[in-house]
Amino acid sequence: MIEGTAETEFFWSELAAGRLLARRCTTCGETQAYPRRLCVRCGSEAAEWVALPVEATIYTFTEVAAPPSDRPYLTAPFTLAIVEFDGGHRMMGLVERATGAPLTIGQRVRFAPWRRAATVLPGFVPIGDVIRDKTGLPS
Amino acid sequence: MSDRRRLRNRIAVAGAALAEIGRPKVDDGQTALGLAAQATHRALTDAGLRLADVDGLLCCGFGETSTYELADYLGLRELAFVDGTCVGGASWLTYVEHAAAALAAGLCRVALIAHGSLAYTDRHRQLPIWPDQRSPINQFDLALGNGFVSAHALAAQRYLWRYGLEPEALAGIAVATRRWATLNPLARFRDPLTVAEVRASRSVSSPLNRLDCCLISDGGAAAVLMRADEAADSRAPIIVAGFGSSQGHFSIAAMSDLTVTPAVQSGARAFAMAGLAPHDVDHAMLYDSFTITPALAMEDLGLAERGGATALVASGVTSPGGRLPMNTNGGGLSFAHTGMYGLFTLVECVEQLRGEAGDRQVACSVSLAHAVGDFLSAAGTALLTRPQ
Repeated sequence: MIEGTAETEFFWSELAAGRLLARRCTTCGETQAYPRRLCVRCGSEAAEWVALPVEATIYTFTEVAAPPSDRPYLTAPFTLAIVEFDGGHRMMGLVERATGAPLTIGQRVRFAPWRRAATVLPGFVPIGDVIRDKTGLPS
Repeated sequence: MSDRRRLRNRIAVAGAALAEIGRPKVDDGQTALGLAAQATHRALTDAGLRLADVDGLLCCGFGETSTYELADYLGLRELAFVDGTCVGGASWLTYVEHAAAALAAGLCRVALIAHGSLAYTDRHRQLPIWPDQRSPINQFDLALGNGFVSAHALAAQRYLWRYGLEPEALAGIAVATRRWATLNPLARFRDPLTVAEVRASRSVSSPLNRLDCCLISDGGAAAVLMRADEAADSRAPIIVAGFGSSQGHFSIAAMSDLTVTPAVQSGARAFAMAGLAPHDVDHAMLYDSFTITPALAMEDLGLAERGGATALVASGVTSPGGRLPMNTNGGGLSFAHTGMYGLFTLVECVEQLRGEAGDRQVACSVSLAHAVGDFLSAAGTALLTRPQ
């Protein structure tokens, strides 16, 4: 489980419930790269939670051979990516594939929370891939 | 004229030295502080100074080599200027800028920059650099398994895609750097290397293979900076013509373009200050944590066209005999990399400008040192020359 702060706990609890949110300034409309109290553009504290689009594009990615030793929930190999939503908002995510086909920059992906036991992280799957979690249901 | 330009040629590196360099391990009795102190005494001897002359200290480290720890270990007291800025490997050239400002302002007279690390011996200790798990970098970046290799791999993947290149292009940088390492008796690896061997080494984080990644070495280095007029009587002062630094994003996901680093700003500031242009540079030491790192720096600093760094390296321009000798000590890829390699770029520039680089000596009059911090997050650049 990711340990959040007062600014981010809601992001993580919503992610665990299958919803990917971002914090958007209601004064200037800026979407924050990660949730924070003050708008990165105008400094306003007036903000709302918005759902990010379900689909995004692979901006870049890497297949990592060995996970860091302090992240025991990750198993080798895993695919790390920066995805870009229409409109330009970017974030880091883990990508899972149903097939062994290589990933490519520009490929379309859809949001699917990455789950290992109690750990839930931003995750994405290439459109067309069906990933089944331990419940056997498509995530 | 900007204030920065008024400092052109006013600061000198009066002394510079390496500590014992691990290949990859140093003597069993060593510590990170011991290596920093060994390099310090060598650099002070080089400058014709004593420890008691030091009144400025600039250093950082993963816990054990803070300004407090190193000052206590060396027995330094009554320091007038300390700076523990920590922007990873870029810290060490950012210190050149900060020391220069302090020296020019009269805050101190002898500024010591010192580094020591047991990166190899301690490689399994896994001390977290950013221990607070609730910090944004941990929540939204490192928790996903990102690290130094994968962050650079994300940039490398985007770079290759953007310019239609294959991983072999980056491998060529490791090959060219190895040619220099064959000429340096202190280098960890001295056997010639081929592009095929780099591509055949195991994948660490695609598209980067093991031989696209720097070494993990024990070692240390130190430099002593003074006002150029006060350093004029030292054995072989080297003049700081220009310097610049820049801090950009922290998380690689926040980098606006993964093929453009803060070197754009640090380099432009250094060149403008020195009154020099990229074509004036005839020796370059570009931080090479991974093969992608100097490729991006070459383009950001104006030493290569956008997308053209790897072709330039493949043409032999940066290899022995080329017009732009680069990473002549063998670099972090083949010489040594202590986790924060920045100060080694400066020491090699000093050795080359002094004509003391042995078999790897090049003919140069303008030498560029460039260091990169963390996730391509920060940059420090210095331009060095001999006294006129």
